[in-house]
Amino acid sequence: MFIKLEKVSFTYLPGTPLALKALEGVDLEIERGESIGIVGRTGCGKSTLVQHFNALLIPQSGKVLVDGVDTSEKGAPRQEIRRKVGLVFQYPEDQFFEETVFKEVAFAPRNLGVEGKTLEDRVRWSLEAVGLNFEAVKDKSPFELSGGQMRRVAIASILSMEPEALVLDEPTAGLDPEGKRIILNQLVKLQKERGLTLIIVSHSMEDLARVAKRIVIMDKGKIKFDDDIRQVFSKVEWIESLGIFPPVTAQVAWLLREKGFDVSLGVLTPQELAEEIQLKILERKKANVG
Amino acid sequence: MIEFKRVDFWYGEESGPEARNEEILREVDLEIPQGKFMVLLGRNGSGKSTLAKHTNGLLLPKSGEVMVDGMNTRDEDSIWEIRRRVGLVFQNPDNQIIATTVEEDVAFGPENLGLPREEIITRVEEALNLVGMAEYRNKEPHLLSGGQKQRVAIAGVLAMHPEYLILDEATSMLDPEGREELMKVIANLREKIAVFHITHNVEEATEADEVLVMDKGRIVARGKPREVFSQVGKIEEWGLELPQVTETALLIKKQFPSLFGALPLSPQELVGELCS
Amino acid sequence: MWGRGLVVGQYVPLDSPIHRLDPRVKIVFVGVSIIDLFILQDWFSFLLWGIALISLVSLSHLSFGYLLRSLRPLLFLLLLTMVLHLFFTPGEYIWEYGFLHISREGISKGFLIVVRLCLLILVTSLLTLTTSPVELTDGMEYLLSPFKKWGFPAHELAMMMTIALRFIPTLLEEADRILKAQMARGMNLDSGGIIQRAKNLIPLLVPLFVNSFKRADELAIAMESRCYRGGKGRTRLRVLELTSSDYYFLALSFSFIVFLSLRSFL
Repeated sequence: MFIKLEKVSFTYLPGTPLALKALEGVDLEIERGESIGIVGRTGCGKSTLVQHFNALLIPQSGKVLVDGVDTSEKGAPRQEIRRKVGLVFQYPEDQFFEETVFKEVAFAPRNLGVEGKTLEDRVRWSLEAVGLNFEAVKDKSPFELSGGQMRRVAIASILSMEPEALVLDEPTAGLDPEGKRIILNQLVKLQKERGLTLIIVSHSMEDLARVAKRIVIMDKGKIKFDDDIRQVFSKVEWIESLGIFPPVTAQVAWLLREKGFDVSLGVLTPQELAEEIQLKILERKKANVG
Repeated sequence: MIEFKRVDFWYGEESGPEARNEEILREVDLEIPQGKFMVLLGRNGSGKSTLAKHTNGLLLPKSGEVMVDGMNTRDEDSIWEIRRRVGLVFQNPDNQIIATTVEEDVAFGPENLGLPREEIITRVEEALNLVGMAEYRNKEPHLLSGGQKQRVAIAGVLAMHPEYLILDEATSMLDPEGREELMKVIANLREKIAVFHITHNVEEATEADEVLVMDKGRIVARGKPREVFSQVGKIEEWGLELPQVTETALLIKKQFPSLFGALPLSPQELVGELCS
Repeated sequence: MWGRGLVVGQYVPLDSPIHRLDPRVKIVFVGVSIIDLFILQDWFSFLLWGIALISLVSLSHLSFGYLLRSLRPLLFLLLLTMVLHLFFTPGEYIWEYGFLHISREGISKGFLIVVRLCLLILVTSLLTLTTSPVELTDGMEYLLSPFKKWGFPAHELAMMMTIALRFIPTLLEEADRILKAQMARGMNLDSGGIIQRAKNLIPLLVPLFVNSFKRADELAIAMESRCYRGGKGRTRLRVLELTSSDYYFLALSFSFIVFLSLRSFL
């Protein structure tokens, strides 16, 4: 087990009138190499949850184990935990502060003591891993890039620590369809080729359908659902009540079911939906006519 | 009517060929009639926001003219009347709320117009009701959700009794719930005033009276949503994507060419066609 | 998250006669009180002031203990004042040790000054505890607006205050987020000498500055779009109007202060 949470609870400003329960008795196990989507309406505790994965937050009760190490233990190697579990915040380009893309991406490994040739190799690899040309961007100011490029540099600036898991909070927020597509494709590639564990917090089920195999739904600080992504859409009304908007394809499948067609509800992409419709509706119609 | 007449724009003062290469708006001709719901699509950096800032004279064209109900945005005497008529709502909900309570923020515009206090009170009430935020009037803005903040920003514009509401990527930083709240508000405003909604989310364009597409500073397509989305090959070239329903229909059409004479844009349309 | 828990200033939102007083009345009252407390020199006046303050506090629904807490940060200053007066006032010595000596005059003067300072702090705190920063800003703008004639930027100052108040919670949240994000990039805040620690601030301060400039720019554009062109010709939704209780309070407090001042002069 790579990341393991046992009965984790966390409250902001505990003991004050403004106390805000963010997590309540959360149990969660994540294996190496998995790709997980975490969803739920704003304020459900998702962001608090992922900050426990790399010891930015320490549970007030319960335990978080990362690669067997208890994050709450005194003298736990927090820096090493943060290297293993790389966390990309929402709108990560807001953290830029260096003059060049190279320095920006080199910041994290430098903090970990990486220097010289190794450092350059790391930066090169990270930028290429997000689909950027190292030579073309390394001397540019990170502030003069386009929105989509900035986001990719921000992701590279975490990848350069060579994390074993990559946690991303809303990685496509504010990007246009093209920018979204590039980032999601690169993430899938990293997960497949390097066995990177991928944990993505997102509001977009369309995005998650492209990258995640397993979905965790949170509501009011608790985990309400944890299963294969195809199982999510079987209860459309229930998940809508949790503030989750199923992808349009699942909505279509649901409407077809209501009309009495025997289509599967777990369709994630237009391709799958089209195949399902052809197979279950159109071919049969044809057969009946014939 | 807001009219763009061959508008060119680039940043900086020079006008040599180099500046022209960096042009952000190129020969833009555009008409935004009263009472219509129009959607402008385009990838990031295509010039959409620059275009929005021309509608109320925040930016002035380098060549060409922008006219609002017959007034030129270059004319300093009419600029405040233009800004009253053309209300802008921007992308980041946090950076456009000025006051420390919802009610006072909505009052900010009317206060600037120098309206009498009784009139301000009526308008604030009316605007908050239109966006469904009346019960939050005494809340502090930082305690609201993104969608609520944007609704307050829209109310702030409506309280000035504008003719045109320009939404400059107002949904792009919102979660799906906030987005839906905002789209409901837009639907409510339809036919009351003109709504010009700038976005890169194609699903938000399916209900529009007219869709425009911008790419590299030019308006490259305009028409009814169905007409624009039928230009399948071009959609990707413009950095956009098709609505998922439309994409599904096109995939099916490959095997069953007789289906979908008119491309479906909503789940209901797709299912309707399959059932018939 | 921290922005949510933030109370700007010390304002305690309650509904009390003191809370409801017009902020201008409260500001003027505090201003005059401060002058009065500096003029007064005798114990009897301070005793009357103490009684007046206790009645105001009970009217304000605040607990007296809570008000006293505002003295805590200044405790050291108060003690120092006391000690200096105690040991360095010449007069009739009642205790001596080497070069140290305490005089009768020292004791009485020391106590008098400490009590005066305490009263000053408590009266001012009563204002900030019962008046929201927004009301304070409004009150200041109204009171200072007569000086606009001589070019005093009363409206601009008030607008700056309002915007600052509006953005403090947002900026605190942002600072918290950037700090965490840089920690996720391996930044270690606690290690290293003083120079290393100062260097550690760069990854925090640069993004905060960059983002604040961006915010300021966007905010200015949004304000301009909503026809903001300075204070000229502007009307207000919220206007301050004196009510009968404001007049009663003014009449009462001024007779009290005038009475005390006359008494000490005559």
